[in-house]
Amino acid sequence: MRGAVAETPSAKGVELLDRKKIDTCVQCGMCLTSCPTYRELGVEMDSPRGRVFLMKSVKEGRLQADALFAKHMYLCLDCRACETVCPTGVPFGSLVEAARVVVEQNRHLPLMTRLVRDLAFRRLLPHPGRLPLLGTILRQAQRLGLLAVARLLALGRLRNWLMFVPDLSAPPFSIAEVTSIQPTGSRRGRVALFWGCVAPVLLPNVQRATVQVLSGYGYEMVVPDGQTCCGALHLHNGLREEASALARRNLAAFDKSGGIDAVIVNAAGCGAALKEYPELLHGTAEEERAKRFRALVRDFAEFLAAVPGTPDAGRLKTTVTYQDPCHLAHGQRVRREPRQLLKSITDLEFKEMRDADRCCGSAGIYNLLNPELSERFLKAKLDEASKTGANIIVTANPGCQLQLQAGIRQAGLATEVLHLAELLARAYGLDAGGKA
Amino acid sequence: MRVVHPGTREEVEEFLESAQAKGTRVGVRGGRTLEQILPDEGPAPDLLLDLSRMNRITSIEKGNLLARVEAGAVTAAVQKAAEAEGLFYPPDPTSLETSTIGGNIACAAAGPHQLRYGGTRDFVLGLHVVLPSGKLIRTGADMQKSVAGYDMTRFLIGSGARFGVVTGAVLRLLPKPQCRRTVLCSLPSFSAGVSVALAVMKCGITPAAMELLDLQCLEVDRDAWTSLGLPRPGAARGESLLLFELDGVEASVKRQHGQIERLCADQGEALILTLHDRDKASQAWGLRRRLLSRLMAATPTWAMAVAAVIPEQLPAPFSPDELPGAPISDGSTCVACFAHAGTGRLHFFVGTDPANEREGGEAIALVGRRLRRLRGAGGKLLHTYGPARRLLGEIETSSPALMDALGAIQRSFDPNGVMVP
Repeated sequence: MRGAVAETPSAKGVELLDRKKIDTCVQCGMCLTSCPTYRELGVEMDSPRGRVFLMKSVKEGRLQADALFAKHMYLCLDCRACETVCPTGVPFGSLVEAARVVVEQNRHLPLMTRLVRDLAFRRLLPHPGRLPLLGTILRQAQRLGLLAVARLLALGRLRNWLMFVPDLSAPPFSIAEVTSIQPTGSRRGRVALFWGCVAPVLLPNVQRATVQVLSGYGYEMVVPDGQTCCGALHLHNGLREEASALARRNLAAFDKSGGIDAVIVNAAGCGAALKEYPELLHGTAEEERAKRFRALVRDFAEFLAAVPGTPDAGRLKTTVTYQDPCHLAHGQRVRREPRQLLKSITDLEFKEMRDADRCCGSAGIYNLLNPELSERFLKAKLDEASKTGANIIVTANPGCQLQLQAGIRQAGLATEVLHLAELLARAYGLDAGGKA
Repeated sequence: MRVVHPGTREEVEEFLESAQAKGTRVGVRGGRTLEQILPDEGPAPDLLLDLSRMNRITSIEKGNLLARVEAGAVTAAVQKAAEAEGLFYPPDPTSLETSTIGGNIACAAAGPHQLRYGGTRDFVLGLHVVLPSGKLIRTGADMQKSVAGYDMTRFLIGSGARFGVVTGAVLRLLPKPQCRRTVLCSLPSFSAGVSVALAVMKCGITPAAMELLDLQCLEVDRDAWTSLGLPRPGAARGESLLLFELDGVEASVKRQHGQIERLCADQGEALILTLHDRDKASQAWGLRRRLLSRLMAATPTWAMAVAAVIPEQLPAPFSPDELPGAPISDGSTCVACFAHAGTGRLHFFVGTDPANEREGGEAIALVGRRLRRLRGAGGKLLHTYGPARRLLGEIETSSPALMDALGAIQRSFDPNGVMVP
């Protein structure tokens, strides 16, 4: 039967769907209850098992890579919670990313998705000058109260998107200020910082705190010139070529950083992407270079937790809970380290929330494209966070941070949402240059 | 085929009523875990009722020792909800993270806890069933003891979806045991594992669970098992594993533990590991539950025979001149055996690679020989699973007279043949 149906023309690009990876899935369904979209929708085709089944069907020519396939592939958050529970190690993230390239090649994406993507991913993120400019415009607009007005006047999607603009009262922190920073404590080593694109513009204090904490730990920092967006969003949205081009630019930039102990990333999504450059550039001339680079990449928490003896344990009287960014917990398997750093702070009460490693609904640009579903995930997350009674929700990824902050503002709660670096800077008494 | 996701019992009634009117053939699915091991079985229905949205756990009643749940509730979720109230739902099919109560009822699922507690069959007090006509019936009662009339509940458990669609169930719960302990007993050979298991059965204790894994089963998850503290599979004392769960009041657990230690010591080379850490214990049982998936993923195609024999005949299928469970080759052909050792239920897994026909043939033949010896010892082949299952032979069917009687019952429930089991 299989032979007969295979006669129908296959979708374009099916060779991207790796047969071996697909066959790793034995359809056991252990992933179902870990999958946020399956939990919410209860639809098999919106579970990891169902999605792999769809991919397999497309691969074998029994299904076209049509609009329905595109819908199911894009309803996935790419949170990779399924990878954590999968008994056979299906590389689901890499599969769904390939499936989205197939969707791309068969041109079945909704117009809105394509518009947002082209504007953000092609015209904005790869250009180092444009984001700060947008940041300046937003900052001035917020200062003059224009954003609030815009929010009142805006309709539909735009109104929803404006919700995600954070408090921009802190002064910007430009890459130019930090090409090389000396340690404040006794010198331990030298690291390179991965700067990122969105975070420094919308969350300058996170960048500031990262630098302060690392410097307090005794690290000299370099911020290699010529680095750019990590390409994670491109990769997650079917733009593999663009992602590869960005990866090559970053590899070239960090090659010039000289003797370093590590490349530090403070955004979970970027960190996971950087660590997966060898796979992205597999079979190209840059693969070896990518492997050498990957060996140096460390998440901020992963790196600090491995430093023997903290400079000063720090002190902060407050109650915090921690939200695992998906691409840190599931993508990089870093869970223990941020908790360990938080628990080492004197007077700080750490309260674990239930389902801390379930996606908050931010998921790259998911919250912009699927606002309704995203809001349901966000609400569940904030409910669990409030049950802990924490004053501060700590996370470690700009996407999660902006999402949680938006949710907190909308719900009129007083809870603070901080990046781990911001909390550590505060506990170590380093955040003097913070809010201006 | 159309898939629908009813959210309430009333919607199921409507779907069946209209299917009856139009002659639509209806199938039901829960967690789809049977599909995993029985792919492409039988004709596809026109309408598939996916009950996964009907997953509410309506109540956990501590005083009444029961739970009311919808059919789509995931088994693990029911267990968790019961535990939260200090109660215990023992049936533990190895697919419990995914499978649903409705699915467990449809195929009378059971797991390692069968040994001490029994399976799904023993923990269902009553059912809500939508008949093929679209009419709702209730079977059983909310009480632990109710003997009036036929035991329709038990009759429907294990009937597939032949007689209607189970939409809800009243489950029997037990108080949570005061003490639970997971003990790993690593042994120098598979036959040593079998001997210890038999000795345990004779010594007057009943562990909550006693699972036997052969070398190949350990190999397929080698790193995870060694990280729990077991010797490397294949090393001395690392040829087979007995995995125990002991429960009860503390003194009883201690006594059971002591007995097992003594019996293992008789085997000389045994290594005993007690997992006091709760995370590690649940990790060990997680490894047991994921075993089949690991084996399936390790080989291009596979088949599995599930057979049962009285515990005393447990050694019968294995011949001393073959190394039971030893890898036939280090390629993708493998023969593995695992058992619910206390109940005499054996799983013979064979993984083959179509590219290597000769080795595959030998592996199948080996399982064939084991099944013949098992039958010779009064055992029964109960199920065959997997894409290559036909190679393992036919399971025994009921007598024609019984089949006729069952057919008549089925027609009285479903005269127009709407249900696709």
